[in-house]
Amino acid sequence: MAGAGSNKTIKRGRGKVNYSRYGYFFILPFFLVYFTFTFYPLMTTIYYSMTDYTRTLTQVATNEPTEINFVGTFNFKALFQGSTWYQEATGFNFKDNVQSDPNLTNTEKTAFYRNMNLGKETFEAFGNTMIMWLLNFIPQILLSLLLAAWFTDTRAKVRGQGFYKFMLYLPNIITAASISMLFLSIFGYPQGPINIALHKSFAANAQAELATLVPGTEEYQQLLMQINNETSGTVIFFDKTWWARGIISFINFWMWYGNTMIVLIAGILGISPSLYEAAQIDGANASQTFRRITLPLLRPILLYTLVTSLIGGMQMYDIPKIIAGSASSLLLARPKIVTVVVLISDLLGASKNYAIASAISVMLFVFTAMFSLILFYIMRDKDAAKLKKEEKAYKKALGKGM
Amino acid sequence: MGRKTVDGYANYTAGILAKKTLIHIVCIFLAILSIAPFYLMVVNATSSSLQIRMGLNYFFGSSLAANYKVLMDQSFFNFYDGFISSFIIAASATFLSCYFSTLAAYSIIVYDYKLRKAAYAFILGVMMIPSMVSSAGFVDMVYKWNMYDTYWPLIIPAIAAPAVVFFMKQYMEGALPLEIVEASRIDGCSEFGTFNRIALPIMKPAIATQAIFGFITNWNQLFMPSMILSSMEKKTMPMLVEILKSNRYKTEYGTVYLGLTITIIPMFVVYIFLSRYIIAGVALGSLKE
Repeated sequence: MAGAGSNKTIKRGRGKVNYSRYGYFFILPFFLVYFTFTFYPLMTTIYYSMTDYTRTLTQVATNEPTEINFVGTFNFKALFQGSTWYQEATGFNFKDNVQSDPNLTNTEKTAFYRNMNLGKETFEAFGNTMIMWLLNFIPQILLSLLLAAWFTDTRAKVRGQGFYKFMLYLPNIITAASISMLFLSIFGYPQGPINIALHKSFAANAQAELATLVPGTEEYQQLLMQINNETSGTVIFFDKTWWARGIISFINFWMWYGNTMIVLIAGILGISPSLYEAAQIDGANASQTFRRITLPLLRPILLYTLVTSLIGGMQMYDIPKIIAGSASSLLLARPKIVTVVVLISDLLGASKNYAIASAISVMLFVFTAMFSLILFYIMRDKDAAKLKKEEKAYKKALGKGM
Repeated sequence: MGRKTVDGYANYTAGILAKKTLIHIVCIFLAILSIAPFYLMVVNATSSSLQIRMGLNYFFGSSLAANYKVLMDQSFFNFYDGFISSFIIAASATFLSCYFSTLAAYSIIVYDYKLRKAAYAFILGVMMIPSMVSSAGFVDMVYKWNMYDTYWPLIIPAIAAPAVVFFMKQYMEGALPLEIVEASRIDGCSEFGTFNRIALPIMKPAIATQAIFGFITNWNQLFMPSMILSSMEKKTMPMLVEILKSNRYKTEYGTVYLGLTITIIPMFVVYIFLSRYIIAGVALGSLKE
C-alpha cells in the first residue's frame, strides 16, 4: 500500500542527457546538509566514543581546543565492567583490579574511576528505558487493536467515530513537556489533587475509627494528630520507583494509543472487504474474523508500529527529563526513571563528558538496530518465506532438468 | 446464524446492541480520560493556592488575574518570548524541510542520473537511524562552529529530512505526470521554474500534511533546544515548563497551572482547527511503506 496510486508506473529517463545535471542540483541541498549536520556528527560521535574527550566549562566558554587521545574500546570496557551485572556475574572487583593493574597509567586509572559509576548508571538507564517502553507499549497495542477492531466492525457500525478519534488522539499533539509537568502537579506531594483525595479518604476512615475510641487516651490523641497532619495517607509518588515508572509509562500510553489506533484502523480498512464477506458467508463470527483475517493481514502494519514505537521509546526523553529533574538534583537520588537519552543529556550538558556520552550513544544505536532486526525476524511472513524458498528450489530443479 | 427464526434474529440484534453500548461506554470513558487532566489544569489555573490545597475543584475559580500577576511578577516565565522563539524555529524548520524535501523527491522522480538509485537507497537507509545517536557530535560541533545559543542549528538541519523526502516521493509518484514537466519544458520554462510553478502546486496536499506534522514536532521539541539555547529570551515554549518546576513557584499552585495552560494553548488551537487533516495524515503516514 503505497501513497496515492503508486501502481501507476512512470517511464523514466525520457529527459535527455543534459537534463540529468538538474537532478544533481536539486538533490544537492539535501545531501550537503545531511552530511554536514547529521552524518558528520554521527561519525564524530563514533570517533569520540573511542577517545577520552571531555571538556571543562572554561574550555567550552573560551572555545579553547582540547587534547583528544585515542583510547580504542577503553570506554566501552569501562562501562561494561562498571555495570552491576558484570561485577555480580564475574565477582570482578573493579577498584582493586584497576589499582593493581601495572599496565595502566595514572591518567587511565583516574578515567576508569570516573567511568565506574557511569557504567552502573548506563546499564540502569537501558533497563529503565526498556521497562518503561514495555509497560506502555503492551497495553497500548492491545487497547489500540481492540478499538480498531471495534471501529471497523461492519456489524456494529459505531457512530461518532470522528468525535472519538478527535478526543483519543488529542493528547498526542500537546507538548510532552507540559503534559509531564501537569502530571507532576496532579500527583504532587503533598498538595497534588490525588494526594489531597488520598488524605481526605484517610481522614474520613480515621474519623469513623475515632468515634469508637475513648477521648483522651493516647491512641485517640495519636489518631487525631494523624487526621490533622496533611501528609498522612499520602504517597510521595515520584520517590517510589514503580510509581514513578508507572506514571511515566501511563503518560506515554495515554499520549500514543490514539495514534496507534488510527494507524491500525487505516491498516484494517486497507484489507480487501471481499475477504470479510467470504468469512461472513462461511459463518465466521467477529472474533474468528479478527484472528484469522485481520491479524495476519495486519502484520506489516503491526511491525511498522512496533519498530517505530521501539525507536521512539528508546529515545524517550521529555517526560522522564521533566519528572526526574536535571543533573544538579542527582544528589537527591532520583528514582529509577533516568532513561538513556536523559543520561546522555546530563553528560553533554553538565559534565561535558563527550567521550562517555558518545559511547552510550553508540550503544543505543547498536541496541536499537539489533532489537529492530530481531523484531523483523520474528514478525517476518513465515509462509511467504517458505513459499519463496520452495519456488526457488522448484526453479532450480527445473533448470537442472533442462 | 443457523436458524432464521424471529427469536434468533432478536438475539442477534440484542447482541449487537449490547456490544454497541459497551463500545460507547468505553469510548466515552477514554474521551473523558483524554480531556480530564486538561480540564483540571484550567480549573486550577483559575483557582487560588488555598482553594487548590483544600481539595479537588470542579468549577472555575476567580483567581485567574491574581495567578497571572504572580506569574508575570517573576519575569522568568516570559511566554511572549517563548512563543516567538518557538514560532521562529518551528516555522522556519518546517518551511525548509517541506521545500527541500519536495525538491529532493522531484529530483528522484523526474530526472534520470547515475546516482539516482543510490541516492534514494541512501535516504531509505538512514531513515531509521535514531536522531539522538548523533547528538554528542552535533552539540560539540555547535560549540566549535560558534552556533551555541543561536537558532541556526535548530533550523538548518531541517533541510535534510529523510522521512519527509520519502513521503513526498511516494506522493509525487502518483500525483505528478511527467508529461506536464515535458509540456512545461516545451513551453520554455526553466527546470527550476517548472518545479516551483508546476510541481509545488500539485504537491500542495502532501506539503500541507507534512507542514502540519513538521510544525507540531518542531514546536514540541525539548532535547535539542535545551542543549543549544541558553539565554532567557531565546528559550522555547517547552523549555519554559522547566522554569515552572523551579522553587520560585513551589507554593504557587494556581500559577503553575496557569503557566502550563499558556504553554499548551498554541497546540490546542492548532489541533482544534486542523484535527481533520492531522488524523487523516496519521492514517496516510502509516500506509506509506
